[in-house]
Amino acid sequence: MRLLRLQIDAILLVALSGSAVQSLYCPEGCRAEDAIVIAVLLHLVVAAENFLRVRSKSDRKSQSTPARLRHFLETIYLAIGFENTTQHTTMSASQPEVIFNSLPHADGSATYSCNGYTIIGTVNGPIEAQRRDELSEESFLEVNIRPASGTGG
Amino acid sequence: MHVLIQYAAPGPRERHLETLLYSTLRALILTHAQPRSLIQLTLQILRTPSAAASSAPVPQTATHLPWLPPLLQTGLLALLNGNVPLTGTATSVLVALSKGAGNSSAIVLDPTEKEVAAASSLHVFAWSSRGELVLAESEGAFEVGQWKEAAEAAKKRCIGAKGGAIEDADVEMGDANGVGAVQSLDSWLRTSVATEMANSTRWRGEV
Repeated sequence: MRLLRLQIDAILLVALSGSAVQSLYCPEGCRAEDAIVIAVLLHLVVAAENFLRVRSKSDRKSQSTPARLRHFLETIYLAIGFENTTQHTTMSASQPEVIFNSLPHADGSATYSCNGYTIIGTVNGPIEAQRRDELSEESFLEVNIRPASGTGG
Repeated sequence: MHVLIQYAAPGPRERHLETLLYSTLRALILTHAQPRSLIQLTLQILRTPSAAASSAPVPQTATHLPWLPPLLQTGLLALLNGNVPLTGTATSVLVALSKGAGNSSAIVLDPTEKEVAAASSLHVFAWSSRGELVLAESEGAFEVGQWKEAAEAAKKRCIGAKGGAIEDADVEMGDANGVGAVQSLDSWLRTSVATEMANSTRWRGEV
């Protein structure tokens, strides 16, 4: 009887709207489409386990239904790569972060991270300009950008 | 024995971004205050969203626009930290326009990699704290009306709905923009700098 109820639970999950499934059974930052996919997978897993349990006639009544559901969900999250949900949430439109004075010997420096980008910027100046760069009326600005890896394109 | 260290070298894309940053920042720095001197700004990219997934270098065909806002923000924060005299601050944001149903288009601020790939056009806007547009770069197919909408959306994100009312900034910081409202980038910048100033002058014991 309990097995049957589990299965019905899973089918109900699929029938529920995406947002409801999302709020009930998904980690923060997971999209509604993914939530439905998870629900479908959950249904399949439950069905498969039912089949195996009926065949082996083993009984594991010690584990409650919610605990088992959670276990299944964790397995599925791992399988489809939702284990780093915190990173997923920080990627989407979050407030940027800055650390000032990250390089102690530069006149000014800041490490800025936003939307998956992390850039360290340093400023030196005003310093003596090379003779050929020197402008008599204003200061010369030099901007250097270095890529993270490989040769830039 | 021969040891070779292959360091990450800037390419044409970096050079192009340098030019864009140069012209934008030159307008913000009071260059006439210090004649015959050099202000050297170095920006090292440590991590990009695509590099987080794999260590492979970014393909040459990839758009350079998503790099621009973080680079500009970092540059400006470094200049602020280095006490370089500025006319004001600026904040910038990446906007993606994607085709919606029919003729409508959806505006996405700070789009993710996926949204960038799916977008019909990409725009980078930088707004100064006084409400002036200091940088506008666009890529892709779009119409003038869409561009204006995108610019307005970017302005809202950068300097808030008030449109650069500096005198209101203190009030804005004070009540932290309520609970539900998203803090504008300009007020975020002000808060960060104020926090940093408070931390670095703590020894005075004036706080």
